[in-house]
Amino acid sequence: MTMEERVLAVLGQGQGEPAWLELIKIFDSAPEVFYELASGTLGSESQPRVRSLSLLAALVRDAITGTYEIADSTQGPTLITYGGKKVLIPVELLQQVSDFLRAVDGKQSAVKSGRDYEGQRASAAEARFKLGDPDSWAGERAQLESRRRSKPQVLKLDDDDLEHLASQPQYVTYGLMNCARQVVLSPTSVFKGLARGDDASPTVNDGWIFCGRPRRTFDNSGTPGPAPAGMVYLVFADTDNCVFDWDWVAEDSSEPGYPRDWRLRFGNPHPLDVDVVLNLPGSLAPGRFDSTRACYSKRGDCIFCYMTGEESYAERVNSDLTVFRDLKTDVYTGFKIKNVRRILKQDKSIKLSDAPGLSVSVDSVLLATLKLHRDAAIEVYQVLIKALYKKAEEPPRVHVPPEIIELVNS
Amino acid sequence: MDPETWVISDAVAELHEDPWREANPFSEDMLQCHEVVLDPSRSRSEKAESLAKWLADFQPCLFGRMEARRDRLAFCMLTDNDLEQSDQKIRRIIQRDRQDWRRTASAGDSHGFLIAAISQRISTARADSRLQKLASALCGLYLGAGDFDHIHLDELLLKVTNDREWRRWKVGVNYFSAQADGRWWSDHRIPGGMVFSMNSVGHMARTQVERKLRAQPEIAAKLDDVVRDKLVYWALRKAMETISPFIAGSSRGTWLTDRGTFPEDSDSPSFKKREQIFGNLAHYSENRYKGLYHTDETIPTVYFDESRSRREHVVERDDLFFTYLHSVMDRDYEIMGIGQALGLGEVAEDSLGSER
Repeated sequence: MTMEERVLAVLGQGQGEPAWLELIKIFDSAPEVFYELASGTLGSESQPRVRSLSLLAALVRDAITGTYEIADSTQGPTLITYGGKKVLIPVELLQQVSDFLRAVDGKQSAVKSGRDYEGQRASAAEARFKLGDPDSWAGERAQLESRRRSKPQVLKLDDDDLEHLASQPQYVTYGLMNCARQVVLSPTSVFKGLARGDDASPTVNDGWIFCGRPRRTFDNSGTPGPAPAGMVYLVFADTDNCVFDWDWVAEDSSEPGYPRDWRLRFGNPHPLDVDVVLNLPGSLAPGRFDSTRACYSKRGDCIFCYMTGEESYAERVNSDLTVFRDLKTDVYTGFKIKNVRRILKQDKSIKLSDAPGLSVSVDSVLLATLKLHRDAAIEVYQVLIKALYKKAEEPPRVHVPPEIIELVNS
Repeated sequence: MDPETWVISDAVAELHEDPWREANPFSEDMLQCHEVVLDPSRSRSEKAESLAKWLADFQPCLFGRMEARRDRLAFCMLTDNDLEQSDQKIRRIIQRDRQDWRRTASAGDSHGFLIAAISQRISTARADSRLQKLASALCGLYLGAGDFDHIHLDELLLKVTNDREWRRWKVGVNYFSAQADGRWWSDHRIPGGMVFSMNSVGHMARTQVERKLRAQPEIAAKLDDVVRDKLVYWALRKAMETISPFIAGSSRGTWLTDRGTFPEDSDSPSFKKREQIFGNLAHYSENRYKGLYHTDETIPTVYFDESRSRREHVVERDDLFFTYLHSVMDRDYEIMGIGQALGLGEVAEDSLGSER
């Protein structure tokens, strides 16, 4: 008998029922016919009714092999394969089709308890349907093995940068523990190379940028809220796998999952071939925000200065300056000065004081970036300087480690 | 792919740390395994090896322990990286590993599979409705259903009788997790987080039957298909040994019951016949056993019910059957005798001999 004849022997001639019901009927009464039909063994001259059943059976095979889900759509329940193929399921058949798909995949829920010792006879067609073409097994297993054996890239935080969290707004620490961790585990895009200029530190310039879309943001009490609209979260790490910065930034409206201006800021997208994890100390907890303190990150070669503690996003002004702005009001809440070593080296007018050249006034470094970027919008600097002096008589000073000073002086 | 969902990732994020664990730290064996499975720098293979090693020593189920010792367990290791993916991607990861297991099993090289969600956050989470929600969601991605207190089954195929025939077995799916360590359901403890464990005794038993018969073709030639199919009951004794008799003060959640307790026990065979097969377990029912939870139900609600956190809060059950058929007949005992003559069960004895 041809495949068409076998199908019709099960279904009988006549008008026929909905395709799903006919397929279920074939599976229930002659499973091997279903398995062979799904394997595409139908002759090209077959009648349309059988051809459409063959197509549906093949789609079921795709769904089982590659995974599927049944989702609601405007037209009704729809079977969607992982590969994106779709087929509608009549509402009244939803449970029946759902059970059928599970049964075809060898999954069921039972009432009777006890172990199955004897098993049941199965056909070669069933085995082929369920296990796939043996020629493909070795290749697919090699892919799985490679994934199983690959060691993750582990990111961490430098001890100094961990210490800095003690005086930064609490949302910064909650963002690290939740958003940054999530982004690193499951990024939407990854870049290698931070375009900070040729004379920037190579460990930063060749570092990593992970971009992702955490579904929540965290306030200063650690309470989660919905992620800000139109934003992605960036995590920056140097070539030693030390994370030094993490922020919400505007998303590229034409490339979802990518930050705005990524071509200007970063190297090329760098698809990952290993997992990446962010390993944070179990004891990590937010500190107490101190607006009079600023911090220098040796790893990122940048100064972080938070003038107020409101939950904020980052906005790049130029290669040396990024500002922080309140997520709700857009008001400036702080800033980050990048390439500090180069700035100190270039602008000798910046005064280093305290113990032999160990601290620097934040406002002087900030103004130095303006000198180096004469096209920058003056008003940004005006607002920041004003805010700095409003908070205290003297703007914060930031500790710069001696080895950095040595490097600058050399 | 259509819009993605993150039920698993959100469920992990919503877990609460278990305050009970502070006063009741993990057992030493669990902590040792955690050093590897929760180490972020380890590969999935290394984590799976560590879990298999733990199972080989501490898994209460004899079959599971035997399979672990013989390196025949397959794993789908879901790390934090996987658990942060969309549900659709997690489902696909599970399906790929499952397919790989089923292919290995089709040649008789594996009978057990573990889907392990390994995460510090899961392992230290409170055993409450949030953890239950995560268990249900993960089971749903794997099997398309994750209802509590239900028997959910997967399936395995085996090429048998010198490639002439295929057979399929229903495979039980059971929940294990780190929360069980130190609790009344410690039979279901496992390091690292949450695990769905699949183990087909029938598939394993039939594989052994086929291997023995291949080695003894003169006996094989005398056996018809019915006998071959029933030779698998050699494993029933091992199943009874796994449950084992009740011991006062034991933390085991299941135990054998005297023969005669259940209606099925009135059936033959005689004590003498049973003694030949079950040895010193012949006094106990080979039909049913008792326990504090239903061993076939995939996700028992009672594990997550904080009002029933102590052994004495849990109601004893007696609806636990050894075989799907519910009653093994006289003829089956005769065939079990043939199985003994064939040396079936020796493989299990070899694996477990040193400890028993």
